[in-house]
Amino acid sequence: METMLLKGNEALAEGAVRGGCRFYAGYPITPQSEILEYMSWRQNEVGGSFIQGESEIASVNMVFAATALGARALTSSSGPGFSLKQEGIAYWVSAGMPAVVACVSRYGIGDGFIGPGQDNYWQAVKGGGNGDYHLLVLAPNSVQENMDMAYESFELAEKYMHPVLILSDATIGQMLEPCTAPPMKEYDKDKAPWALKGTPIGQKNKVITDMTYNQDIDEWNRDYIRKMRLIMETEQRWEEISVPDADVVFVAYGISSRIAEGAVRLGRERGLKLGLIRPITLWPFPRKAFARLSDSVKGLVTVELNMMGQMREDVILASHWRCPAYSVTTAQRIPEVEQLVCFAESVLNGSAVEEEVF
Amino acid sequence: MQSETMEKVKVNEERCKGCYLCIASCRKGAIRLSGRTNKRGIVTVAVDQALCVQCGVCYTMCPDLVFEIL
Amino acid sequence: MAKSAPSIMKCENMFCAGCGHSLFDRLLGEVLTEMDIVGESISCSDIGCNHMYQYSMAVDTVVPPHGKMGAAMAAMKKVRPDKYIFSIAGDGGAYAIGLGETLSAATRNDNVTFFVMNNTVYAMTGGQMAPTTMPGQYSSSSIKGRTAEEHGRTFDVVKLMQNLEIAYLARCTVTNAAEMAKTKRCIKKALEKQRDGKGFSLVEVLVPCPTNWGLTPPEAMRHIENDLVPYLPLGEYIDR
Repeated sequence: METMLLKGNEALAEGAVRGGCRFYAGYPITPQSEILEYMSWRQNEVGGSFIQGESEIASVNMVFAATALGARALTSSSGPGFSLKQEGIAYWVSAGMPAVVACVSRYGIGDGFIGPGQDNYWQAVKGGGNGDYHLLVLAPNSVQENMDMAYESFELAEKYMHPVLILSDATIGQMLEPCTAPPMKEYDKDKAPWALKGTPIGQKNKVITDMTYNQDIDEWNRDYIRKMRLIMETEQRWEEISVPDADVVFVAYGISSRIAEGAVRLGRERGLKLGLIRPITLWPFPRKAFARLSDSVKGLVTVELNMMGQMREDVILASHWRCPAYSVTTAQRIPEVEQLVCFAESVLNGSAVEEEVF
Repeated sequence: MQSETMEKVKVNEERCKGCYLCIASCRKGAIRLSGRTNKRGIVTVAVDQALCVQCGVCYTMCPDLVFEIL
Repeated sequence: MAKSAPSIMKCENMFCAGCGHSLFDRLLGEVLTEMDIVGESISCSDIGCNHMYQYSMAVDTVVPPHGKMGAAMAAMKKVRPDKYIFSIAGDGGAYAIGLGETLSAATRNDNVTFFVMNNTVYAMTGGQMAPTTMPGQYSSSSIKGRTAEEHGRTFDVVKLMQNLEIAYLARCTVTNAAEMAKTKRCIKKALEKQRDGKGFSLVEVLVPCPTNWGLTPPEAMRHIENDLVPYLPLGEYIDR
């Protein structure tokens, strides 16, 4: 174990390399370009490959092909670049390729801004491309978690033969924090059971395809939905802070969760019983955390860097409307601790309003 | 010396899709319709073994691997 | 001389009667078998009629999204540089939706091989106009015939790539036994360029699509000879 001082984006790249990533393809876009830059020299050091693709679309398909040949491969993007990758990611899902994509979220519709945002939530957790799928979505909230999640993402993807998305954001990507680097994992691409290596005459060749119409589609469907249900059941992860006796529970991930954690602390100092559920996996959404909530909770409050309160939808589904669900939405601005505590007070005194735009 | 009636080309009629590129390309006019229909419902081709000189053009021009030059 | 299907061809193909793809596929199968590189080859399929080679030819295959072979093959060669990496592509995939990827692979001079089946239409979707559709040609999306004024000029890969620093560029066809022999030589040469590390090679093959051209297979062959070849001359354009 060694301690390093890294930017979140660099930590994500280093974590992936230590997790066995030996192929990276990407295209520059703020605020994720440090991942690309880091990989451009780091892959050389570890005997991997780096390609700066001609576009996000090319890069995502490079990762598809590299994974098909057995490599642990990563691509990353942000905002509109992540949108461009959606078609390619849908093909990963269909072909069952355990590739990993990192989205360092930025705010805005279309080109948007280069600052942090959480308005990618729906795109990230509800599919993103065409067809019936969710990605396995991990939401780091620190530089250390950027590294750790990238480190474990390949094994998680290979466990289910399903792509993993690391949904970081511009704040976490750009901030500098010390982190502890895990040891380098050994990975042999020739031992990957799916890997294409060339088949001699007389043996059965392998085809890695996104096309389901030439297979037994009913059988494929059955295996696929079984896999998705298994992920739903086994991979829900979350962190709870002061939840058992809380009257108001914040629900926040990524950078918002760090503000919400501060609000819980400040609120408790002022005698308000506040708590926080921090989803670590956004899909599967940690429904189990909501099933155990006490009946005394007077309100759930999502804290999100968007306008519509996108995650509130999942909170309502997970809590079955057992208590009112609110959103503090701050769009492109990072919320302030004081603002969250004031909102919690308004929930407790009954003046908060449930607003919905979904 | 080969007998003139010896089988020179094997025809796998079941593979025939009826494009008849073989008939169009055989310089010896040795390929004609067989009058038989295969499982695809295609009228297949037959080789006049006496006219055949085993040049292999039918093999070359057949998209469906019907011919085997012996 | 005895001639039979190369052992890499595992079953009957799924192409229409008289389709040029299947003629090309067999030639490629012969070359791979003769060079004894079947076990060293990984192919990259396009999506379209051309992708059906994977059901009749026993070669490891990756199927990326339509047209993205240039990008996918770049990655494949990086991950397994000791393998032969080639794509059997369509004209729509390689020259329209995937032109950026194809051209990027060429400008980088990636050590991979493109075989592009040019039948001047989008065949699998029913014969719509492609960039390669000939002037005056009827298609289901140019029902009065393609014109440069209305639909733009016809795409010619040689004009696009002849000044690039790539290893090999050739255009050939499958209309008769002599052209088939030439095509086979071009296929072999392209793969040899890759073996020798020379870089990007592209072989465009003019193939008939009797189904969408509304011609019989022998008529479709004559159409290529009479109408396509004068506009898109055959030959080796780059060989270094």
